[in-house]
Amino acid sequence: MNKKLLVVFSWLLLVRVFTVFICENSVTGLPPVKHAICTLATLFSADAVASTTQGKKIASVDDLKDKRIGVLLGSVHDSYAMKTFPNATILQYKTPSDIVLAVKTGKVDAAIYTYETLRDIFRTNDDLAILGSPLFSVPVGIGFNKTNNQLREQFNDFLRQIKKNGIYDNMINRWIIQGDTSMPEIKNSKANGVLTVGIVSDKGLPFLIIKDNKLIGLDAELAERFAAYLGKELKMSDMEFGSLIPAVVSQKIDMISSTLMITDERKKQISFSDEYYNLRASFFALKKNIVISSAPKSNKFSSLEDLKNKRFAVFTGTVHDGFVSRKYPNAQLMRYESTADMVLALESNKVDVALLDVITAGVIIKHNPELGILQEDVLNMPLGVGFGKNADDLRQRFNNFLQAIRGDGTYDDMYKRWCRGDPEQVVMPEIANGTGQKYVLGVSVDDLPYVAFMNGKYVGFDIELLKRFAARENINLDIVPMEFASLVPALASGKVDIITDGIAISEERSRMVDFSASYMEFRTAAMAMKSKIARYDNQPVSEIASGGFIENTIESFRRNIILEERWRIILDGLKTTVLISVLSTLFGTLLGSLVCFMRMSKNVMLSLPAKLFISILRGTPVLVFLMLIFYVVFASVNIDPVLVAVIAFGMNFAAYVAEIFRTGITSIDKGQSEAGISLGFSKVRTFLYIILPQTIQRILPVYKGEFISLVKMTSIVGYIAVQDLTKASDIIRSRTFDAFFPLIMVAILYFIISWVLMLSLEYLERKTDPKSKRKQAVIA
Amino acid sequence: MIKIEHLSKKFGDLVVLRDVTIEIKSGEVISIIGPSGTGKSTFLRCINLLDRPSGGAIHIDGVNILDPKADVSKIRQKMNMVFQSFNLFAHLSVMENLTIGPVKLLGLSRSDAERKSRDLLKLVGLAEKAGSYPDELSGGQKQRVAIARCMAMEPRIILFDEPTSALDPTMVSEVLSVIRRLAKDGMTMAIVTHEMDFARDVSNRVLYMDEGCIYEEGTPEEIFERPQKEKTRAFINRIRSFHYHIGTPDYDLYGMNAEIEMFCEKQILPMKTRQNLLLIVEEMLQLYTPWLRTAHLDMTISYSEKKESLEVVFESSGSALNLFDNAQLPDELGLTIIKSLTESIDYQRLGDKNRLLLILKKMVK
Amino acid sequence: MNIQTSKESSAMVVKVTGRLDAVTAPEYEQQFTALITGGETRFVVDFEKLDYISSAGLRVLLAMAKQIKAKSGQIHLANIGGAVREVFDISGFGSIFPMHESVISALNATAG
Repeated sequence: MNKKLLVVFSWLLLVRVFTVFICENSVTGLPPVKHAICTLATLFSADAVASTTQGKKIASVDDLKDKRIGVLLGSVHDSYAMKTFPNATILQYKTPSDIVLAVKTGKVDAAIYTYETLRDIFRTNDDLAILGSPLFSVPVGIGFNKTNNQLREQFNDFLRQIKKNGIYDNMINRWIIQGDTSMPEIKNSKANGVLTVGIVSDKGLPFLIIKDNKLIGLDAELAERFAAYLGKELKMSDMEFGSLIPAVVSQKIDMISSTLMITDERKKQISFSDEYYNLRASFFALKKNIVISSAPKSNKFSSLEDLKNKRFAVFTGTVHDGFVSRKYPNAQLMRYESTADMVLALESNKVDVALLDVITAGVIIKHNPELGILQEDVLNMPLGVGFGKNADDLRQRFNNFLQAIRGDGTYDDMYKRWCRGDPEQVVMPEIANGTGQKYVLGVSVDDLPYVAFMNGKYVGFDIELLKRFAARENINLDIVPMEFASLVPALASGKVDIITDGIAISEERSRMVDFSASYMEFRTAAMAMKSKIARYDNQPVSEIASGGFIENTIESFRRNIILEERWRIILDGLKTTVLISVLSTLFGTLLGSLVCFMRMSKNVMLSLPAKLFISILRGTPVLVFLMLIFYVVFASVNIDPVLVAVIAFGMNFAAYVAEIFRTGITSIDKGQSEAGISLGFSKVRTFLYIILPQTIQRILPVYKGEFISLVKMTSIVGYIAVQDLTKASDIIRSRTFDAFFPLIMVAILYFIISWVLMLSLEYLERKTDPKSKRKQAVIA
Repeated sequence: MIKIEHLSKKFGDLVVLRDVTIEIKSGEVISIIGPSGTGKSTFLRCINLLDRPSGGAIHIDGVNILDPKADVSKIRQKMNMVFQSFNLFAHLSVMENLTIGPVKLLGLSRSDAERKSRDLLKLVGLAEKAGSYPDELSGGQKQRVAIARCMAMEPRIILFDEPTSALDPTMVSEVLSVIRRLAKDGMTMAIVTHEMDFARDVSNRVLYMDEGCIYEEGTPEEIFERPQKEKTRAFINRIRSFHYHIGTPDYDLYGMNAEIEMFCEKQILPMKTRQNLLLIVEEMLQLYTPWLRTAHLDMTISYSEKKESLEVVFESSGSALNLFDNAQLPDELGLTIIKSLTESIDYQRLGDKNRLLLILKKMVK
Repeated sequence: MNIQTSKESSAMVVKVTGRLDAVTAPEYEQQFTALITGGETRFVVDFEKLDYISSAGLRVLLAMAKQIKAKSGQIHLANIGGAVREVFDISGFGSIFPMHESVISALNATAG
């Protein structure tokens, strides 16, 4: 027994020595092998040491009040610890790596450091973990000499600029969220002198570190960019943390770029730029010393992996569908018809993340600053233009065209305009339509850079591509908008000849559709609410134009209605909706009367088909029925979709009207018809003069309700490419990404339509109510 | 005017009318009485073809209306029906109810129709209700309008299907008086009714329907006073009689008294008569008490309004027994009372039953 | 059910109410007997509130009278009218009992 103990003890001692020797240097950035050995060693030694001195695990920050706490000498954590834990033993270290080592080897029970840096450290040290919640957050800024106001203002201007043009976001995304470690190339004229920046070189990622003899990190990039902005050559001055402030005060350096926390104390000595980030401080300790509490983990996402059992929003019928199902089988998949719907879903927390084209995402984020990119390059796929199975000739011509424009630079030019910059700013070139054979192009209209509807015209990369093709081949191109999900069915049933809308080539689609050669690669990004994305933590919230409510409404109104003459779209949609509603009602009422008559007949030959009609029409969802009629019954028939809508809605309405009539008629007391008959009226005349007036009086209220329902039902005609009021709002939404205003406005319009029609029905009701004449007479 | 021969009607397997043969002459008022469910209404409804007969023939003024070529609608115009549930056209005003037939069927001008209708409304006493709607009228008013509506068509015969059965007793008389008036004016009518007094008053002939046919027919006197056939008599009597069964000596005197009182009220008997009746019944039952352990007693009280006489029949089972054999009475008291209140006491042994018939003395007004 | 009684100087006044028939007679008989056994010998029976009497009721009166006679007592009847009167008349009871117009005169009769 004793012998064994001795062996264990000597082994532990050996390991301890080994550990100290190897792991003396900074923990982060070690080559993997060394790091592995180190970790292993620490595991043994620290474990032994730690657990023998510890005994009890730490459950919360409070537990530390009499323990040993490690901090960076002279930092805010230092003063914080001193103040907040007067009974604890505060041990101050000169460098971050020392702090980490201290924790690992059990010299301290826990330490305080910058949360953001810790996350980076944890990437390579998973025996460490955050203890408790972030303690406090402090804004960081660039430090300047108090007298150097000019430089400071220049920096503030620079900061504003990079925030505006997205570079800042990009930096944050790369360094902090993604943990990217590549410094971008930054051009600098270096013509205006030198900019000396004081830094602490082992502050740690994501802010500053030396790698391959170069300084990289957020602070480094910030400094480089600012230098480039000034046109000055950048000189970094590496020093101890404690020396930074004295250095800038004595003007040995121009500025401090070292995620320096802005404190009142420091403000006495130096002046700060505007804050450019908010750093948080957290306790951390060895994982095994922390009681894993049931406190909720931070539920922010740092990568797509975090979402593997969350809710995804994808476009209906896109490859993302299959992708998510395969890669994240435990995730919930919600399918949407438009990007605008996805945005709405994200904002109202119906989904956690949305997958869509990275360029489109960029456009959306520009308009919706509360959204951010979680991850780019989720999935890359080739895009193709779709042709019908029998259109080989056309397809070949297109492929030839594609090859030609790739060769002569047209393609590159298009790509640069639409996909490199801001697609919303691109001016669509005027391309004359061909005059030869007519072909119909089906598109869906809310996907920049591929297809959009702006200023009354179709614009986008795909549109320009196809228009050029049409011009070159002298084709008369007719563009028809529809739902994305309807594109493939429309092509398959011959309603359109060509389809395009940034459609990814997939095996499944290739069965229904013949694709052209790929004309672009598309990259999928994952987009989510910034508040949920970890790397956006503690970013100063971007300034959304917060005017008063009235101002916002007026602005919304302007954007949604006035701009680009969008009110025309609404007016056209309104006309279509009213037309379909009225015609369907008339057709439906007449058909319904006929069906009712058949249903009530004693002849089985009449009543059975009627009963069948009624139960089928009432049992099928109108949308399904509508699409059946359009794509199946009238497939290959060149028929106006408005007519199809009238037929479909009319038939549906007829089924309900038939039953309403029937219940109305049967509810009339039999005695009424008996009295009529015994008076000498024929059956028909009894029905006309006695039964029918009473029936109408009775059913009018229910009929009114069904009619209003019909009006609202017409909002689905977008699926068969009819541009009605709802589609109008979709189109506008796809441009403005303003979720609420167009929706509310359209809702109001529907309400007005219903109300007006209701009034007219009520007029009819009054006219047929015999007593109303008297009531009016009495009043008069 | 109407000749009905061997009329029959089946609903599925149910035979409602077996074989009805009757002739109704112009100006006649015929009442049809009988128990419920014996086809009285069906019979009436067959006459104007609201229900299609299964067999037989109906001739109206020589025209066989069951002929497929017959213009039934036209025939119906001359033969109108007043329903139990009034059936006024709910969506039309009273005036419109009256004018719709004449205008649309008889081709009258609106003004003519309205003029005539106003007169008719005056006739039934509802001139001021011309603009009202059916749901604003009372039951009696509705029925009177219904009658006026029929008359607006100037029919040859009006069929009444239980015209007062759905009416509150207070409104019955207003309708009956209209019908009486029509009878006086010589309108041919066939009335199915439960109002026996009315039927007796107003009809020339009374048909008693039972067993799917006209069981017995005759003048009101013949049917109501001297019904010949058994079922007729039973019916007539049932309307006018009260029946009670005493099975044990522990009968509920007060409960029975209550029922007797109700019967008396229905017949509108004076208080005196009632009291005497109750006394006689009690005394009789007291006399019967010793035998009630072994025998059953059936008591029937019948009232004849015409004769203003009340008779009580006691039928008991058991061996032959005449209560009034002096030898079997405890004392004279009960007997004295009974004897002084009755006109006659008759004992009969019928088969295995003892039957005592007591006729009460007529009350002095 | 209790008969209302009130003791007067000259006699016990007994009020009969409602019906005196085959159902109520036994009770009345019981209560009368109790009174008589209790020592009362002079009675005035007030018929003002009586609506109905049958032979059963008459028998009760008769029995009561027999018992009183055995004790050399008196029994007078007062306020007999209407249907009750007729029954008395028909049955001849009118001659068996002394009948008075009012309780007072009946009491006087018993006194005297």
